[in-house]
Amino acid sequence: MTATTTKKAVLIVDDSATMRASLEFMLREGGYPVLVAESGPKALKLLEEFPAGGGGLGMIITDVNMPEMDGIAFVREVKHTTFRFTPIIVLTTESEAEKKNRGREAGVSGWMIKPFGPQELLAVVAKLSS
Amino acid sequence: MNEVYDANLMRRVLTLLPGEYGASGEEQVFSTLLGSCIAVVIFDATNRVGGMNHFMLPLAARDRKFYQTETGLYGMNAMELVINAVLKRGGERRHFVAKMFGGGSVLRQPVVGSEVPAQNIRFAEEYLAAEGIPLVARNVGGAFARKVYLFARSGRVLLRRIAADRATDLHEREAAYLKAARERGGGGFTLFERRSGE
Repeated sequence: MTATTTKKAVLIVDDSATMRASLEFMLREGGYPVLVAESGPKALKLLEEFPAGGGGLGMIITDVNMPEMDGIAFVREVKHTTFRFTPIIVLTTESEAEKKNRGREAGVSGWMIKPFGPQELLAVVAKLSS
Repeated sequence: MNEVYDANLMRRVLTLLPGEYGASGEEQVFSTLLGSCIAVVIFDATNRVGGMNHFMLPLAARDRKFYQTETGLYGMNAMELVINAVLKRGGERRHFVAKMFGGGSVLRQPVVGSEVPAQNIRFAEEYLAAEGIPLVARNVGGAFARKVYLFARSGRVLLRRIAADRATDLHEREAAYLKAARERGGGGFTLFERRSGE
């Protein structure tokens, strides 16, 4: 039995084209519908246009180091939308203590340190996706 | 990363071992010794910041796209580390150019398959193309090792070929790095406790 149709979408926000492709591939293999955005502002626009207020979006995964609007600033913005209860995971290449604290204050659900494989990613998404 | 006195340049340089990376906006020189491994230089000429990594993909990606494999994730991470280090020192992605070195066939079989150097080179090419970072210089392949110096502020690179049999501890070092990379798991995951009221 496939559960594809019952899984909620995951929004990926990353300025790296390869990281977007990699995350999208892993999540689609896991049966999740995927939305991608290359920046915080573009992701916020996607969220605005997302149908039915937020019921179909299970979680958001965002990179932390992005130009224009970094991951933490993006999380803060999301908290002002109808998606404020959607779990958000932040990706980083190393443990950045100062950003972790800012992230916690902004309402981030958790961090994933790269590199990680599909099993780890899917385990986290299965656990957190609302 | 070790700071050593380099007799060729007659100055102190920071040496990068396999798996390491460095970046600077100062008058800093990075050096690394490459056998089968690859070093990618990321340079922003506008902000005068340069960085370099040193890595090897642990396994063959075969016919899949690199981002569809765990070995590709490993390479992507090596690239992200140096890119983030350059960004942190004031570089901007839109100004990035790249240079690529290494991928020589110097490791004894069967520690690495003969396809490994070619696969490393292909990965770096595909990664840079996908990220839209122009590859402006390359010196790869062949049956020799390379010593690479990067002058971080100018992006200038000096390269010296070294006969594989003269790079004495290179085999062991790269083989040990490859073994560790293959055994290494992914990163970690931290879940914050749910706060009340959310």
